[in-house]
Amino acid sequence: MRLALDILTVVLVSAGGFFFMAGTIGLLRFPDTLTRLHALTKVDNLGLGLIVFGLLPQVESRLDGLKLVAIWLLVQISGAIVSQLIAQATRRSGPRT
Amino acid sequence: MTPAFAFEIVLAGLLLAIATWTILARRAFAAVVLFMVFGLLLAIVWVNLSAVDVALTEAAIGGGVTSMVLLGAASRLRGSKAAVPRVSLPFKITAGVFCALVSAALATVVFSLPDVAPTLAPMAKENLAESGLGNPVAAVLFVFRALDTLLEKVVLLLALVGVWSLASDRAWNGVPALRVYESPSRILVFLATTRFATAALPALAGSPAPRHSQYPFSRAVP
Amino acid sequence: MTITSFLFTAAGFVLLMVALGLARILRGPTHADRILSVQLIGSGGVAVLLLLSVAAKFPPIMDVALMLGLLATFVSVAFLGDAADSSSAFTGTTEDQ
Repeated sequence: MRLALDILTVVLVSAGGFFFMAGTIGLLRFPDTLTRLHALTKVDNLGLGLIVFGLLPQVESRLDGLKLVAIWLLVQISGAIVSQLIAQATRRSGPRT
Repeated sequence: MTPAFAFEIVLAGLLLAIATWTILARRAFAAVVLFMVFGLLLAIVWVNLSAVDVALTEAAIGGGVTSMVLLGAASRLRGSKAAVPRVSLPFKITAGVFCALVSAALATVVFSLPDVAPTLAPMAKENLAESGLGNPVAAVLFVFRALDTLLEKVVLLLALVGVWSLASDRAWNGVPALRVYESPSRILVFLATTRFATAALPALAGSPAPRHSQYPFSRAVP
Repeated sequence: MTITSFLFTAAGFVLLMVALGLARILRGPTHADRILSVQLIGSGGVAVLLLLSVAAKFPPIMDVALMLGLLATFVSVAFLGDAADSSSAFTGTTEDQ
């Protein structure tokens, strides 16, 4: 049982790390502000989410697991709000090519 | 080389790179952003050194408040002569030498600290039950040295009133008064409400939990 | 390789991704790009701290992660508000700074 949980952790955290890498590469390589914004939201949602779910089998108490998920939801909401604000401001002044 | 050690090396290298970059940045905005990143990374360093309370403070103040204050200052300077200062080379060299001397002095002090630091911490821990709180740091701040904390706030308030009184009204865009927002952006209000709710969590959770027990990172401070 | 050293390695990896994302601060033609980097650092920092917290079996670090998540958003919004005030900020570089 322990081994299965550990394998689950490794798989999920690795997947989360992969999305972090994808988001960072997107941030560096995409041509436009709005496309980079799109890449970044993947990091917030999937990258952090997969890491959180990968850590859930490893925590000691249920309260800590709840805290992990709560932190993930918070970062998601923050990311969504900041993305909306950035997109609003960029649209107002016209996107750069 | 254990992964923990490798992680610390990456962290330290990153910190040094960002510090250098902040000094060399050309634009004020970029420099402020880099300073904020430096503050956030420093919070991770404090966590690594088992100082979780210091990490919280660093993240909040170094990463948040100071960055916003600096940002306000940078935006004030935008477009004025003071934004791009021209200093002569001898001045830069003197400043560099002075900074190096300060760093050397700090390093000497840090490396020659006694192994057992003289401290009142055991006495604080013994009297913890009387204070009614679980965390020794919170007990010191709110119970044992409560007057100290209160007077700090009084001093800050006096300083603020003094600055407001002595500065010209023009510098503050008018007489200091309550600022009323015509149509508050609903997004920002939502953000503030959720933040406020979640900020209450650490404040409530912070007091009872003792933080200074078994930290598995083996620390050997020379 | 134990699960603890795997989690440390993952934390180091995410930290490297955050470091790469900083290049956007240097190159980003508009202020919006720099604000995106701040958001990435916020999410990445939270991920690193959560990984450290579980790897060291020391739950209070999650509170620091919570604080970091909150602060990164606040600072992003502050940068955004300031950049929007100066109308030229979103359309190109501002050489006068």
